[in-house]
Amino acid sequence: MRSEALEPGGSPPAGGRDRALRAAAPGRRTRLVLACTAVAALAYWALGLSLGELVPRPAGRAVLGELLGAALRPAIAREVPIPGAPPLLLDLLAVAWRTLAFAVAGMGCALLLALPLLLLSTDALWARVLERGGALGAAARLVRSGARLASALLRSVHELLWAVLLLSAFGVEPFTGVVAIALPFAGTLARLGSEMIDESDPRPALALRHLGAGSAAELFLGRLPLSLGDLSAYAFYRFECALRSAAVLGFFGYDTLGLRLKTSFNHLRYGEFWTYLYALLAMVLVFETLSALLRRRFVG
Amino acid sequence: MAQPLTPAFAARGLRLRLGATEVLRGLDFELRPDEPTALVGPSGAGKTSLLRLLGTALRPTGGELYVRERDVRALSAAELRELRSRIGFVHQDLTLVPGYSAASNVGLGRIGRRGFWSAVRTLLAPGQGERLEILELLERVGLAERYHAPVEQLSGGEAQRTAIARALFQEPHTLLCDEPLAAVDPTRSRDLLELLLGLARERGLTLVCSLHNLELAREFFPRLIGLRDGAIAYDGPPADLSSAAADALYAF
Repeated sequence: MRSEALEPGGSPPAGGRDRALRAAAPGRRTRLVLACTAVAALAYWALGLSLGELVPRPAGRAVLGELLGAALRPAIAREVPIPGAPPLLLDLLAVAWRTLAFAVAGMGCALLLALPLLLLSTDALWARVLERGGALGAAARLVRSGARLASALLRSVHELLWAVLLLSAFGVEPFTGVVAIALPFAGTLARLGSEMIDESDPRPALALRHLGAGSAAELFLGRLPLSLGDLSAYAFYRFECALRSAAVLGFFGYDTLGLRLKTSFNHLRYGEFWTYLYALLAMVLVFETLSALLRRRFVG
Repeated sequence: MAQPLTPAFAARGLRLRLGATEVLRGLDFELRPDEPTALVGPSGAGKTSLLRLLGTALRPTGGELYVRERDVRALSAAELRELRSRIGFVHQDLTLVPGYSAASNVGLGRIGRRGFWSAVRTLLAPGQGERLEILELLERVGLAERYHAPVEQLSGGEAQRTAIARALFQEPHTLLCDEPLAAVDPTRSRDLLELLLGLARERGLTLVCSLHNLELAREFFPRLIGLRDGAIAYDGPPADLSSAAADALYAF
């Protein structure tokens, strides 16, 4: 007779503890550190690195000196007037705003794409179907693997590489930039999100199952809330990354801070270069502070 | 006019095997709804497993079990869910959902009889009636002022009583408690048992608790079932349990 257990038979939920115990075994850690050091040394040797390369050549030293010198006096007006162009600070505001918009749009698309991938990748979503086994269980395993593979593919390609691929297909349209950010970010969000959910305490959800809750209620009301704080903290952090990526996309021609950094540098307008760089730094710092505040307010 | 009460639970040759372990080996008993029962015995005797069987969280691997005259082996998954939704279970380790307030956790009590969206609505914007009901239950367990408190801020005893309020919100006919004293300050043990027995009396609940503490079980419960190695070693009123028999129950 089949014993249709409501709970998976008595296996302790703490996989994390086992891992921690194994990691703490003496000797193991020392060997790991040694191995990592050896690999690093090997890489150093393979590239034929020498510290002498870090000493700039005479010509480079002059450029570096000029560039660093400009760091203390960023431009507040255009160093070389361009007829018909808006004043520097107005242009800065516009381009900072566009960079922010790229990041917001990219992150928004990433979240929309990540959510279904994330849920399909969790073990928690499929727990009941997998316990039942049979053809349905096999199908569930297939869907879960598919979702995990998709998110792995998305994140294995860096956003700049996605930008290159999309650029060659569609040109420098704003939307390709947004998609270039959204695809890899969705991949990482899905991976980390599903891991956070699966590593959360399953017991509150089991208690809901005892109350007669269905699978959806168990996952969304008993499991998801436990990792919601970590999930949103991570999403905030990824937003800062999106902001930096949006800026860097400018080097490919998108009208963001990166484009201004590139042109001002190429035209030797180092004062303007620093103005744009400081603007990027300020934006990242503002959002870091903001996300820390939000985290403290909502995550506790 | 006193009608003979139908048994709340009836077991004949009830067996449970978990993996390779024979946890319960052939139990026979009937539990009456008006007779609060304490399951006593050493750890590992099978008290928690028996409670889980009664709560239909586990299915027997042998013998018969009737819950309110329904053969649990014959019930479909949907019928089991329906049955379960009326059995309050206060777990020793299965916990409240963190991140929600005490009141929201109590509101989850009816999740088994409501659809998913209705449960979401109870969480986000409970109706006036529901809020009152939840407040009354929290009042009954002495936690009215903790209505909005996030459950992470509750003490062990407060979390325990919130779990009891959640079970009551189910409008249960049966209340099963697994080691309810484990989470409670020893000086509050009597208060908690008084609360549980009072609730059983005033709401007509069938109450079954597993208890480590034999002295308190004898003091509060009209019926004791002593388990040892997955079998019933004693079944009867506390007065009939001789101290020799009590010692034998816990002897190594």
